[in-house]
Amino acid sequence: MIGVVALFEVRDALLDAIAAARAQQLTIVTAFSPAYDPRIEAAVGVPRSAVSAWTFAGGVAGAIGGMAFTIWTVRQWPILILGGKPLVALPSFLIVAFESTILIAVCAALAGFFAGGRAMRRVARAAYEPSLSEERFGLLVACVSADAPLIGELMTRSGATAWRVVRS
Amino acid sequence: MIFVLAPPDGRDWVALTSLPLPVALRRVTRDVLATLEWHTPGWLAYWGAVGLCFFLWSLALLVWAYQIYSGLHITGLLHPVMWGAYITTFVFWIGIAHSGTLISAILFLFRARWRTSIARAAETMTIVAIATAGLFPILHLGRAWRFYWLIPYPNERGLWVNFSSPLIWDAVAVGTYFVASVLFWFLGLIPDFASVRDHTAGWRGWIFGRLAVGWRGSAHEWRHFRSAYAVLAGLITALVISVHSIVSWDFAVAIVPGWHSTIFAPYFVAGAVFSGLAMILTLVVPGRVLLGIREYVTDDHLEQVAKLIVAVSLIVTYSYASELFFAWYRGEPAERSQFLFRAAGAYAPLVWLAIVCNSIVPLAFLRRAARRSPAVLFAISIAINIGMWTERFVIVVASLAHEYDSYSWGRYWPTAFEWTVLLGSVGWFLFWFLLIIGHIPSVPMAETKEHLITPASAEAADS
Repeated sequence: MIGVVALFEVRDALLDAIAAARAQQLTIVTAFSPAYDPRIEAAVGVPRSAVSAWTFAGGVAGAIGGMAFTIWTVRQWPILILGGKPLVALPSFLIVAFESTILIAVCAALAGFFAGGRAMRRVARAAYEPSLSEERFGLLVACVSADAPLIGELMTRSGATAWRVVRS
Repeated sequence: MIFVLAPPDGRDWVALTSLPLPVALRRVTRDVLATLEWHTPGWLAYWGAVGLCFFLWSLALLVWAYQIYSGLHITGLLHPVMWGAYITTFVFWIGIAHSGTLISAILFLFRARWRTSIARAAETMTIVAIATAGLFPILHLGRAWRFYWLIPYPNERGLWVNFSSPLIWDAVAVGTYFVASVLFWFLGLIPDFASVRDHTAGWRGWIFGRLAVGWRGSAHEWRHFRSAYAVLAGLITALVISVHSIVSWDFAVAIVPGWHSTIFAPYFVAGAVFSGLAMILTLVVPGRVLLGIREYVTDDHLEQVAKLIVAVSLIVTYSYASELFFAWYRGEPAERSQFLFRAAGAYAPLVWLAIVCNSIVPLAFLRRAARRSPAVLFAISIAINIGMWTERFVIVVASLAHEYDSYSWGRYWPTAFEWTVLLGSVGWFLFWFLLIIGHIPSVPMAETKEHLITPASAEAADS
């Protein structure tokens, strides 16, 4: 991919640049910021995260797995003398299943986070620079080589303090 | 004071916002990274404290070695009291672990911005407190090398895993809480690790680069990050309530007078949050001076913690009153006898000490001056820590010492060995807390910057 990455000192300039790029029907790859910002997220049009789905799947797996684990484990001793109490005691097994639901859901949420951001981390690597984690904002726009100067100029007009061509 | 971060009354940032945004953001990075460079005024005191804590837990380690060599008879444990200082201290540290989650997860869900400054310390405290608590069931075992028998899984040792036992619930719940807390802590640190990676060189840059797991701060990554953080906060909120409820059921499902009560779960959860909040003050009041982050952890933030302490103290006091009321109203002789024993028996001084420390002393925070005085905050937090340990001691020990039949009543007092181990656990906790908090960004940089970029007023307008 060939693109132009532009750097901004303030968030509002970045938002202006995103609007300008949209007006020119350019392909916005992503934006960079040192902190979470819902306005940038909305302007870029980031798709919905799949983390919730991962978490739900993990939770279901944890609940089923926790219940299955407890039942299967106690049934390894089927002739145990329990004084009339049930070998498979569902109310108490629910406690273990609840904990395993949370445990697997938490692990799945983290896995979803890593999996969801993996592709973008690779793309963003070429455009990244250390000041983006400190105080600057960035915008990565895809383009063909010949358009790069024009896009750079557009970014400068929107308030970018610097821009460069990136290849990834 | 240069920085006045996130005033809790909803006003916008005051002094920092007077700086141009790029300058303010750079200051945040520079100030937090400075805590890793050991140029802070308190570095000598910091390493002195780390050394002292190392000494304390080394002593406890020697005692433990002696206990393994000679057996549990060096403790004061004797029929009828077979749960003593070790189990008391286990419950105490599990309780301490709760406020990290309260401040990080619950206050995050409620959009309480003041949590930012102390969230990192609170989360770190949680992890270290669980790790400390986890030692005590092993210490209590005697034959510590068989600790893995506690872990419930099918095995070839002829051990039937009794999932109806609260002790098994404990192992599952505490294990889950530890893993979830570590993952939540790590997730929140990823953007800050990236910041350290980008602005330091050498071995530190290399290590933090690995820990940052390729974070670039793109809008897409932030989206996934935010979703994961919110989901984890919600899950951990449910988890934290379940964990201390389960710890309370260690007692409540037994038919011991003083334990067998339906109020135990909420009572223990409230007590856990209470002691955890106090420990936050104990750590943060001197810690912000040692690490040179006083401008970030302001008196306003500490005042918010103090207000929470008053609220939770009232809940704890209500729980004490409910216990007493039920003991009288139920009309069960052994239960009444237990509470009379607590009020006037051998452990009465401890009972009254707990009531003074947990119900009366925190009321000082009703005065604004007390809430804003670091010395008073620190002193009261220590009193609450002592009061909460004492309360757990009374619950665990006094109940066992005075059950149904008078012929089996007895007394238990910890021996010098147990006191040493208790002191050592404090050293162990502080040692790891100080080491960790001193080597990671002690203030959440990305979240602090988020509040600078989007002030409270703008966020309110957006919503």
